[in-house]
Amino acid sequence: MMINQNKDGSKLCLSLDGRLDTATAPDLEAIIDSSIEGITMLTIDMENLEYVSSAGLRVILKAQKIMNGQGEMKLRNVNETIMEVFDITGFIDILTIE
Amino acid sequence: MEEQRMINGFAPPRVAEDCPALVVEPSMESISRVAAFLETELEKLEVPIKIATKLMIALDEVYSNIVHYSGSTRTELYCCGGAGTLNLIFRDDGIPYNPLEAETPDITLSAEERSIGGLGIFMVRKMMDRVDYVYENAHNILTLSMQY
Repeated sequence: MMINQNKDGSKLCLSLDGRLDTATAPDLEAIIDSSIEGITMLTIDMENLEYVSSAGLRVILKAQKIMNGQGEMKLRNVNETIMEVFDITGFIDILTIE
Repeated sequence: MEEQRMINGFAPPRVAEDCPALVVEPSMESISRVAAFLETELEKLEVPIKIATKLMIALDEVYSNIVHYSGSTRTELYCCGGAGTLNLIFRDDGIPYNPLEAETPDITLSAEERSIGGLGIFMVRKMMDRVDYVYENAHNILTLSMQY
């Protein structure tokens, strides 16, 4: 998975390209850990993301919890399969999906 | 012509040994190799992308569980396709674990109350058309089935 970071002041957009799974979730977690301080708007763009497994959900949940304490988090361009994963797991109710 | 018996609308798995297989020593490092194996086999079988994606997710869940919790030293993976049914079979020598008896996670909790435990197996059970488990000759045998 490739992760493109775009920071504008206290806004951060992470664009994910590939698969968010057991092999790649630690990469996203590392970027969130190192970049999230002081961010009040985190956007995760999933336009080029194929799928998310529970390893990815864990990192998304972690980011959501952090952002609940310091601002807002949005997910953008969520494909049908990823939406189904969010729906099955109830994540649809705790995330903001544009 | 080979007779195709159907059980509940599913073709029974062929003898797994006849199917494309991968034998691995479970480790984090082997996850991408296992994923590449399944991806290649699904492409050969022309499994539609939406179904293939669900199988790739299920593989990630099951295989990472084997790596993290089973203590297995040797896991066999079989990808058996044909007659519109895909059976993905995991055979491992780890501790007995029946995912069909796993506790269902509470998916209504808020972000703060959430944990991720048990979610992967729950997703597998929801996304697959059928999941079968047996413990046989000191091996867990888990079969995930999708119609395509």
